[in-house]
Amino acid sequence: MSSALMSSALMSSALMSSAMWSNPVQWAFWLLGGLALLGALGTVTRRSPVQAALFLVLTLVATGGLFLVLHASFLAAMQVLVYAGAVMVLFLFVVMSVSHTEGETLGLAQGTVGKLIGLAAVGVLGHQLLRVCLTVGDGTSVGAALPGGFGDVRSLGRWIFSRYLLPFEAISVLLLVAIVAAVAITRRPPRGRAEGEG
Amino acid sequence: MTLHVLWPNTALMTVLAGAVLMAYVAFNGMLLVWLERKVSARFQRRLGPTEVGWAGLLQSAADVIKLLAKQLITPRHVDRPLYHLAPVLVFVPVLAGISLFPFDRHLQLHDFNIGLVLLFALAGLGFLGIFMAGWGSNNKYALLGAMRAVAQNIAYEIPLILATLPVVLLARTMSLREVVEAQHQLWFIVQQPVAFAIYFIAAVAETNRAPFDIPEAESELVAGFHTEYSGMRFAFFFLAEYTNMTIVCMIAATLFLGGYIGPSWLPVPGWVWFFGKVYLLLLVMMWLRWTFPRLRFDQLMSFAWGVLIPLAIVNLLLTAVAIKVWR
Amino acid sequence: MVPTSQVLGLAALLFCIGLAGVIVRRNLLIVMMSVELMLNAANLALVGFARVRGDLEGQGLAFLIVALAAAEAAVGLAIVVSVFRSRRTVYADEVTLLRR
Repeated sequence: MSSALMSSALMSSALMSSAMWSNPVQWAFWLLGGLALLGALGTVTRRSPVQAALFLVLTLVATGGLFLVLHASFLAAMQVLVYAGAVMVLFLFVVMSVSHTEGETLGLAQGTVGKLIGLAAVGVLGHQLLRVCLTVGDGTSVGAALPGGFGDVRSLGRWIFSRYLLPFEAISVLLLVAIVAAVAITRRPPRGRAEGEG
Repeated sequence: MTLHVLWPNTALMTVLAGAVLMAYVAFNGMLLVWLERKVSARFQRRLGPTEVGWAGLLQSAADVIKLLAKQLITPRHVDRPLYHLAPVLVFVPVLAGISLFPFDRHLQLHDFNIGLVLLFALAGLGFLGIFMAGWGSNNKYALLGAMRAVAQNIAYEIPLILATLPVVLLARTMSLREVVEAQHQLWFIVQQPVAFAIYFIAAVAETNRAPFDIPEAESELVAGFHTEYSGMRFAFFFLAEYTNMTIVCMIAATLFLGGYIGPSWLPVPGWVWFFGKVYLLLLVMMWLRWTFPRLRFDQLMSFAWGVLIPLAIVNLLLTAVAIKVWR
Repeated sequence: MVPTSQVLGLAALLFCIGLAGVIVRRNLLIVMMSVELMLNAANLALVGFARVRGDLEGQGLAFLIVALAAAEAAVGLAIVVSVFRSRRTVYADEVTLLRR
């Protein structure tokens, strides 16, 4: 909580230094950033997992918009396609089949001390993180000229399939392992006639 | 360059184009409903709507007026925010999707170099609306319908995307306009008949239409995920469904059938070719619906995972090898 | 033209909200959503760096992280499902078999 106050103070100081209010990109950034924050807060505060998941979708889509603002057009589309389209659908599917109970009691009912310590730790970490983040790029802005086609399929593809080829292949193997693992974990043990149901 | 989306050259033109597209979506929905009723009637040796307007053409307009005038009932136990948001969330991605296509050589709102990916991303958002409708309705039939719809959509999205990739390889672009321009000599359906077949089957399943209409199987689930919706909210789902059909047919026409390109010796404008192909494909979809019986859920799933996806992967690999060898 | 500090600050805030979610929430599903939130925040920072430096390195990394997050979600959700099957709960503090 204290981190939020601190951050808003730091944010506003960053705002003062940047007198760029007439800039549409700045406005788009603020709008999308606000939506992302709103979605994030909703995700961690909603009691119903379905509503939390939908707030998370809001954050993910808003982040996709931010990627667009930051000239990562292919990544923006991937963000919406993979995160909002696939990962979140997976989440919602599990929510649908798992939780028929309505919401946990929110707040600090159980394990109060532990949670308070945890939150304090988050506050400290957040404060430090924000301090670093808000000072590190002091003066610079993301408005520098870019080579044409920065962040589109062609340039990013060239990058991934040359510099990042090995990590890319490793990730594809990782995905395969994850699929096999997911199937192996959720498969019911063969009990008589029982056949796993996907 | 990406920011043209946010700040187009003339805001007025964009607003105007948006209005025209919305009008087209509404008109297209009404037309397709009328067409479906006529086609189904002919398949069952009936006449279909005949009373309102010539050949019943105004029947859909009458239905719209009826739906508009209907009372909006909100059941008591629904999850209100989800219930109210769902029809909008189903409809908006569809509307955005239809604005991406090149209807003619110079008739396109904005040509994204990732147009194809964008289309699939928008389609992914549509599932969320279906899910919200099913969950928010707090009704077992709606929930079952939504669950089936989501499972089916995940399963069939994979062959759908895999089937479009050979075209991307051949055209060397994901921009919808450039894909069309790459088909001046030869439509891609000639080089990729298997991909087209996979795409079309998966597309029929994606739009939840018979023989894959398990999410709204009337005999089992009342009406599936939109059981609890009435009046205009129901109409939104209906409209989204028919517009979705149109979109998948537009993708098929763009990727495989040469989009706005027709035989050059015919003095016919490009957009006529485009819409002609789209509506021809839509007729085929209706034909399928009124010919085949509905599949069982396990048949549906094993067909996607056991037949379509392996076939699509093999096709993609073969295409890649062939391109490497012959180009 | 957005100051770099604002992009990074936003990413840090999102990261912290996600971290707080991981610590405070008991529902395993929401804990996993919070983890996704943190990964997403990291991605935002990476894309921001890529933009500032005019260098695609950050975007490439973010691309890989998206795939990583998908893998993580698949395995994590599989674990949640199997926990639910054996314990009938998705609350982290009710899965206490080892403690008893």
